[in-house]
Amino acid sequence: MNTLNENEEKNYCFQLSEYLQIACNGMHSVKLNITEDDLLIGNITIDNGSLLNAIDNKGDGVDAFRRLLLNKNVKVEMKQLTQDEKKQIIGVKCEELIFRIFTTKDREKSLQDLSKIVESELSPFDIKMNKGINLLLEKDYKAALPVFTEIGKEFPGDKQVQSILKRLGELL
Amino acid sequence: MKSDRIVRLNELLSALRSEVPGTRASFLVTIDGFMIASDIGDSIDQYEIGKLISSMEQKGQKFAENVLKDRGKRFVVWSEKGDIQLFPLKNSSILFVLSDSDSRPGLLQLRVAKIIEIIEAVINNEDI
Repeated sequence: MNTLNENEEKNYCFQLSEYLQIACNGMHSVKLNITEDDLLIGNITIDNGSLLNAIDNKGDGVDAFRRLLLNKNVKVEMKQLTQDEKKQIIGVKCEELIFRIFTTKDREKSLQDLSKIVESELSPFDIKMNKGINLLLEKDYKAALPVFTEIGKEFPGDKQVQSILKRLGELL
Repeated sequence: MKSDRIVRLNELLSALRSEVPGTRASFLVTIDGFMIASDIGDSIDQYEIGKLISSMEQKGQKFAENVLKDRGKRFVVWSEKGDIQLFPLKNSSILFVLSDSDSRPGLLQLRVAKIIEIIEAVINNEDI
């Protein structure tokens, strides 16, 4: 039986995006001090669940919020918000802004990453699967059957291929 | 025809799981029950899922017409341990997302709305 060894316990740290969601969804008034390598690099203020402002060493507002949010190496400390710090600069809902930033990042990443994928870099399995699935999308099941049969012989353990072959067997 | 289409789709599904807490798996199934892309573990039977989708389309004409083929709507099966959400795509395929009880439905829906646009573009071989 496995026992929990205290030395093996793993520390779990919330990410900045999770702190933000806790603060905003919980309608809290907080100041999130953000550090990198134990150095304070910025803060984000939230009043009663509303995002007020973000400040880092390059500026403030949405741009600073984006830079802080996308920095993977930060740690967060949650402090009480003082009256002097209640100044609204960002007029967008926190979750909406997080979504917008991640979506843009995702799209940029998708464009960068996906543009790097060229046929020569695809594995023989991927090339054959692409061929077969293109035929499925065109509903050319008769042409797809021999393609997947061949893939199935070459890669007998692949569950996706097996499920496709089974389904083709039912439809043809 | 772009040869990296399926790799792209798999990567998009993988990104969805990494960006939305509580998302356990996602997959794209054609209306005829073929799983064309997935980000799932071994515990899920791909064939059964494909068959289920196909039977929904074949047996439930009204369901198919009103839900599966109407982009913008979603179909949700709720349970205590999590839920299954179905998002119809333009090209007669469906995005399935399995979430656990820690899921954030609002965030998921926002992310899916965006990712669907990219998935549809990839399926249709459009530039993104």
